Amino acid sequence: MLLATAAGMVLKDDLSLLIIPAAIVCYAWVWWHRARATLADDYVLLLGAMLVSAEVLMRWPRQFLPLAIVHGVGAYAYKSRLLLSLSISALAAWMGVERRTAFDFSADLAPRAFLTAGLVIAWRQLHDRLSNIRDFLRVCEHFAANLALWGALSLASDPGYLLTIAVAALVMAWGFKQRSEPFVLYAFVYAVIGADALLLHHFEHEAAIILISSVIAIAALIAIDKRFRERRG
Amino acid sequence: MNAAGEGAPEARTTPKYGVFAQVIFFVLTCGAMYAFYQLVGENGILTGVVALALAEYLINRWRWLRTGVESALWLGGLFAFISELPSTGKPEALLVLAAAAAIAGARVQNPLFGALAAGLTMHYFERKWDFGVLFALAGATLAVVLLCRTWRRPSTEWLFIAIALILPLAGYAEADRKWRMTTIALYAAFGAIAFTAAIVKRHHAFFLAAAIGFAVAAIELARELPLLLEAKLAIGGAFLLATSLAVSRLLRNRTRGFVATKESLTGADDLLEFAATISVAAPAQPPAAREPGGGDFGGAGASGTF
Repeated sequence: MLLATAAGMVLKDDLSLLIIPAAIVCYAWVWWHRARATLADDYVLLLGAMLVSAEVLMRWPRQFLPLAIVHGVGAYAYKSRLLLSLSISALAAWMGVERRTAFDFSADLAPRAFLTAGLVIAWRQLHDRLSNIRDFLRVCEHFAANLALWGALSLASDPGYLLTIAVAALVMAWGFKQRSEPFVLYAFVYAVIGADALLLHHFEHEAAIILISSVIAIAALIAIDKRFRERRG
Repeated sequence: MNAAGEGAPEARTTPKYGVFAQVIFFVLTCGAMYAFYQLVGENGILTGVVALALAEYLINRWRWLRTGVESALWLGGLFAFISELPSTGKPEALLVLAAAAAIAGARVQNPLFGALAAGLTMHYFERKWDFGVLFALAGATLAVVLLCRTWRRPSTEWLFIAIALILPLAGYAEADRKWRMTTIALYAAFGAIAFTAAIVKRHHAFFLAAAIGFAVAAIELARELPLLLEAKLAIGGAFLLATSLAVSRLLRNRTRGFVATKESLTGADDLLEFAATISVAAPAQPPAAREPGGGDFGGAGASGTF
């Protein structure tokens, strides 16, 4: 990460001659090492990918789609979940859902987020049919779930809060089906935020609402956790 | 809860929750406590009594430990009592808060509360005598030494691990610029002690503590060196990469002691990995276009505010 940041700064100063060769060295190193890869190789690969990102975005600002494709190809070539994460992030950025604008709850964030979530689900379905890399399915699922939940919450209105609760229920059901606790837990947090926002929007006595909703949420989480463990066995 | 043990406290089993569930429980309980505090007219005594009574009921009747709820109730309850004390602005108030965190930590066996108590005491030393860094590193070194023996209770070991890792970081926040060389020397010495302990005792916490010590020393040293920022970042990154490659090479095929095998740490490692990747993959912004005559000041080719 430090090297990639340094590379970005060097690039900004128009001394970019070594950036692409350095990225190629990273990719080549990991490819050469792939039979005996270690933890460190994942991060060498990530470094190479981030150098490519820095180069592309500095020269051609906001060209996220080519970047998503490059990282996507890299993800499949190297069977790397980290590169897949970069690829989906770039795809989301191309769709207008970026980390720097994530809290800018403007009217068009939600449709962009929903559309991106839909694309990621389609990607997941396609991957499920064509590839045997099972790890990638979970990456797509987490991205799609969070994009849909955040998109619903960003509507910041009654229908948005209700939609957040509905999507959270779906994600929780998926977590139960997949026996994956993180889905259940973060969907639960989104649902609590949606429910609290909805209640606070309509009723006064904020303290009473937060007290009652927190107690109910604790009881609900205990029940959900118990049921999840029973299902998991 | 165990249905067979309904009504018989001694037969109940302690509910076990993962780290993320505990965090959610803790936050929800803190929210509920604050709301209750507001509802009762900011009465700290009443809030404290209710919180501690409820915490003890949950611990004794339902055997709730490490759920996050009873931890929040104990810590919040004691802090609610403290909120009723007259505010004098003296640094000794930090010691009162530290004592509350220590008592809560001891009751609910939460090592993070112990580290919080140590951190508050360190802050007191900083406010009172400007010895924050020294206290932090002395405390962390003591924790490393105490970790060299085997402790019967896992919570005691976790307490020393938390202190050894958190206190140096908290102390760094208090480091003054005028004492930079002393800070570098102290953190490097702490790193060396922890690294030696890591080699001898083969404990992951020592390794992490050493990394923290050396990292802080390196960051401060970099500030002293007359190099370009990109050069410093590149040197640091290359050093870390080379170290990680060397370590992973050394540990390859090992099955005992330190190993380089991937394993799940939190139950949500995938999610953490993606989040970390996204957080560092923020798209770079292109440099602002420079227009002739732009900037607020300067002349002869030099233009300010660029």
